Amino acid sequence: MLRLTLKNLWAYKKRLLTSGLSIVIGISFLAGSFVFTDTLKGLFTDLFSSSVKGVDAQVRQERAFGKNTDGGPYEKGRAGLPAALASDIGAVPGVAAVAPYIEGYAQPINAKGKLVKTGGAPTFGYTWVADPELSAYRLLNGRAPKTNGEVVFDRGLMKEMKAKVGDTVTVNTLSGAEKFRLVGDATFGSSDAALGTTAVFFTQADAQKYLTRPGFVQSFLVRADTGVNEAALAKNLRSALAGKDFENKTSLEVVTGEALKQEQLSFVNTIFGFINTFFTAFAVVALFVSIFVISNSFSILVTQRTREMASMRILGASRAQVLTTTFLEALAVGVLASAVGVAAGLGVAQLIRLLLQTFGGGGLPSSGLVLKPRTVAVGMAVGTVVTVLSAILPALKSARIKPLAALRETAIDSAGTSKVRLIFGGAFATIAAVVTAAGLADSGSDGALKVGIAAGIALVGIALLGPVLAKPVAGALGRPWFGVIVAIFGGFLALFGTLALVVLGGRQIDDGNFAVGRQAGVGLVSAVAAFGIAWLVARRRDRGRSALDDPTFGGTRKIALLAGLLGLYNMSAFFAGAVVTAVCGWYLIRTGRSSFETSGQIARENAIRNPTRTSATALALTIGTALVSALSVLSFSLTDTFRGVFDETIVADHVVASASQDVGFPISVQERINKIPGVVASSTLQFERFRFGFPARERSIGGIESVDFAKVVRLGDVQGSIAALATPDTIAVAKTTADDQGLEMGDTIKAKFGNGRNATFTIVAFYGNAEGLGNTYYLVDNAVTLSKYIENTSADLLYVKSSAKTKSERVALEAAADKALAAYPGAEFQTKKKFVDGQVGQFQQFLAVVNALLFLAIIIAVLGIANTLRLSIFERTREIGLLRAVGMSRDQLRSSIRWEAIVVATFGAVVGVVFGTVFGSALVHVLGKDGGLLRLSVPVQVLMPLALLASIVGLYAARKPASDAARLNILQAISTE
Amino acid sequence: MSPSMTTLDAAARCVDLSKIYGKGESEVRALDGVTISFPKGKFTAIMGPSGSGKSTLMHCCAGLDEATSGQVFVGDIEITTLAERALTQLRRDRLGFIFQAYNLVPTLNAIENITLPMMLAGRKGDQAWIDEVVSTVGLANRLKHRPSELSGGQQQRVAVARALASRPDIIFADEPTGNLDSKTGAEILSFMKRAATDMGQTIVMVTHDPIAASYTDTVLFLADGKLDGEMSEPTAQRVLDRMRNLGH
Repeated sequence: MLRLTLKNLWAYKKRLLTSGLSIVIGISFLAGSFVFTDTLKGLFTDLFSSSVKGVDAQVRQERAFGKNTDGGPYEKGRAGLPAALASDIGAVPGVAAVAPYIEGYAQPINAKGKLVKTGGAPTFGYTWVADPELSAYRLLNGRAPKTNGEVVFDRGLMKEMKAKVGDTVTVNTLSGAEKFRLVGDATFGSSDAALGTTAVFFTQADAQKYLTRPGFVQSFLVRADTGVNEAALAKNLRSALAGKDFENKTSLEVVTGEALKQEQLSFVNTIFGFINTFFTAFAVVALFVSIFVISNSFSILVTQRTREMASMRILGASRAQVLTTTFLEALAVGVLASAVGVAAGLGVAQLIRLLLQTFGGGGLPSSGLVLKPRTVAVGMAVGTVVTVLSAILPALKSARIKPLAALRETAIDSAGTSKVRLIFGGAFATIAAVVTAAGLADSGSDGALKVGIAAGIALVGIALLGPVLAKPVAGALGRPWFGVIVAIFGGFLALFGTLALVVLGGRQIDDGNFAVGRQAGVGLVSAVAAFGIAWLVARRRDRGRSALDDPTFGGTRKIALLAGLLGLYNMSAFFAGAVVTAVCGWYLIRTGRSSFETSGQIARENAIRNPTRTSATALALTIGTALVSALSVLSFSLTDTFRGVFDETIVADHVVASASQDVGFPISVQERINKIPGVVASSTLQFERFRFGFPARERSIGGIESVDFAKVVRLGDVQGSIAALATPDTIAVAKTTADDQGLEMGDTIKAKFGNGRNATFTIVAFYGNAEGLGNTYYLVDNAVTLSKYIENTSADLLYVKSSAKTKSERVALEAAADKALAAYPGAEFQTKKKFVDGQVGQFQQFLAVVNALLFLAIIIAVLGIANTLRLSIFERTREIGLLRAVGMSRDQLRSSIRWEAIVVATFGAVVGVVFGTVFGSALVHVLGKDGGLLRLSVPVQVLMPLALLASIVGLYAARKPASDAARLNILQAISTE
Repeated sequence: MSPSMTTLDAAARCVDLSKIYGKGESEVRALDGVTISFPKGKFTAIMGPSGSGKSTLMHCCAGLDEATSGQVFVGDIEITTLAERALTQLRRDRLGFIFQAYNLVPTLNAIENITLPMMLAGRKGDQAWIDEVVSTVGLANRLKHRPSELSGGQQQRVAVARALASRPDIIFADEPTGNLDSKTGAEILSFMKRAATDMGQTIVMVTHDPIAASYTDTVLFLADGKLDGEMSEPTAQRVLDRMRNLGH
């Protein structure tokens, strides 16, 4: 039996290669997402542990909480210790070296006057630590900052700014932009920078002046004498410092180097909790899609082999023997393909990294990819089990058929939809509907969870009911009306591509940008030439051969296509994109047109002749599109809602916002703005954290100018008076929060700030619209209350109301404001519209990243469709031969197969879009109930193209199968058994 | 008689047609210098034992296979020089085919299968003629059925109707009754004979069944890739006798 298995494997190598490919693809995506997460996590762990590697103890102020309390390595929350303590610490027995440590915000400004962007990573300012054991940064060129006004950049910044030692550079800090002299550069270990962050090093006095406050540092890093262990060192430090007297002594804290490392690692785990969840979700999607793809292609293989199994039964093989062969075969293929898939996962991880680097803008350093045993184990197990199950289940079914009946049965089947399927599918759909209804009745996260579960159940229902849907839906899509839509879409693409090529290309040449034009020309000519030559060679080579039984057929054409693409790549991505778009559009027009013809009718019939297969093929695409649709509905609803809320809340016509997300701008900005003619009122809003309530936890509190605040912001329903906040230690609370906490007007609340100071506030007002203030549920006055507890505050927002009415007045105002803020690159003067756009833009950004990943899932689906199509066409060889014999041209045949693929793909996408929209809307409804204000917005402008995009997917998937089919030798095809 | 007159009389002909498989020692001459013409409006059978080259001859004449040397004319068009695209058009517009089995596209119903070549050409076809063909083969009440709902004999009748419907210059039939029982086979053959005598349709049929051959006007005998005589107004018995002596 084993020999037969091996022989079978060899005999069907091409077919197995194709279905093996689907396993490889599925598993590579699964493994790829694991590898990527592990690699990223490894990088972060390395980064954080290496930065504290030589530290044996840290002396610091215990942090209650404060801004960035969730951020382990960020030191901004600490109020600090007197710098003079350094000598006391140095005198403690066992201490070999001590380094005062300051970490804060510092962001260089480039030659164009713009802040250097990091793509989300923090921009740090440090005091230079000279002891090489206490810092991971090493001086590369120049020297450390010695006198005030000197700075050192990390190597990454040097490259980014194209700066060199000796230059004068501008750096923005909390107190505004200042000029410094660049005296050196440093590397982080051996890399240019610490994982996408930027670092500027100051002298200690400058660091105190610009990053914290004079005389204070955030902590002391301590190195022990040889032979002194960390615990003993910490003990010595504690007892020695207990005898001294200094500011903030009560909250003094000494931690060992080991404890510090653990803090860092737990921080890495915290941020990776999210990233992990995200990629695991992606891996699950990849897994589901690959299960569909794998099981689909194997079930087709087994159908093909039913006859063969039957002949073996007739020759005397037992049912068990036949099944064993299938099992062993699937096992061999599964194991082999999974192994290849895991290896290919490394490539996928690299691809994800490239994608993130290109679109996310994050500076991820290149490093070895991390392949954990877990990745190998999961990849191998999933690939093998799914393959064996997909092969053995249909084989069991076909083994039940009497051998003679199986022999007589033709390969062409029109599998109906079974009753069992209908009953179970209906049951799942009903359960999903009930759970959704329950979710809709609920609210908040409970409801969302129910809706999520319902979506999962409904997906199973759809998988079961798919075949029932396939016939009417795909049947309807196969008709001319949809052909017209596809053709129009194609026409649009063709026109768009051509116009882009001609108009924009022409403009570039008009602009004297001849290099681009020449490059485009050379690219096009080389592409056409390469393609043409290889094509001619291929024609000669392939003459008289057939794609039917020759796996190397068309190999030269593949090379031709690659050569052509390489030529196109030469033309620059833009022109290549335009050419591809135009060609794609042209094919869509032609294919859409075929829906009117017999070839289109045949395609339509083929698409629905085996509804089970059609739906299984299409469902791979459904999952991706459903997720994209649901997330689009969610993000557009969020965007719309928040735009509405912001519009309603902000009365001011301009807003000064901070250019960097985690720092504000100096309060002094307000004075400058107020001096501009035409400004009638303004108020800052500064976000702080305080601890209060039941249960006592950190909450966000906003500091405002209570007198003018009502002129710039509309707080909805106000009870009491915001202006009353002018009395010290009074507070306004959002009405919803007050209700939650059971607070009454006139109540006092006890709170604690991050620096440890306690406060007691009296409630003088309730207000609505907290969402319009970025979910700030508590407001106090800046000058009389907040500044009593927090020093050195910076503003996060400044609302500005002006009397400017006409356009020229507005222009004058904006020009004056830009001039006033010239020294504050961290503050941006924006119109209300631009500010609101920026605030809601984050939802769209989030969507873009998620979509980029989901498109990877769609790629798997494309390969799945191509695979199924190839196998189907393999099955229909004789039929294709007949069609060709009675006069179907190659073009007609190709169009027919393309149209079939488009119909199947669009079916999948339409189901996905409908599914995603329904559950996305349900989710929005449920989530909105909590705050009672989430507005449902279904982005038709996104969802429609998504469904149409499926036609391109189909077009691409059909490319190879169509050309294979068109090249079949008619005579051989007709005589195929 | 001028050569052009011969051309007019023949629906298709081949001149010195050879088809060679393999090279050197293993060379097989499937056709070896065959010159035949198929007269217009006649029902011709090509007979011969297995391996005599009869199917190869038909495939070459129908443009389904490429000859090694020699010429094939359909009407006055030399098809041996035609490109793939033109050949496809020729098959669609001027030739008809009936194969032994699997003649029909399973996803199309009977009438769609019948009009398939015309639909592929984007033409409506002559409705009156199609009606006549359909009623002649007796399928009027089965037109909306799919092939899987038709018996083997009915399927072959659909195939015959398809071949006739586009009024091709010539119909090539490859063992059209090979898969049928003798009664159904006889029915199909009568249709074909009637198509030739009543409708003037040229038909060339490859067969090894003497009874099938007896329905034709002329039988051409092929042996070892060469023409080995012909017989007019054949009967089953005479064909059988002749077959026994073939190649001797």
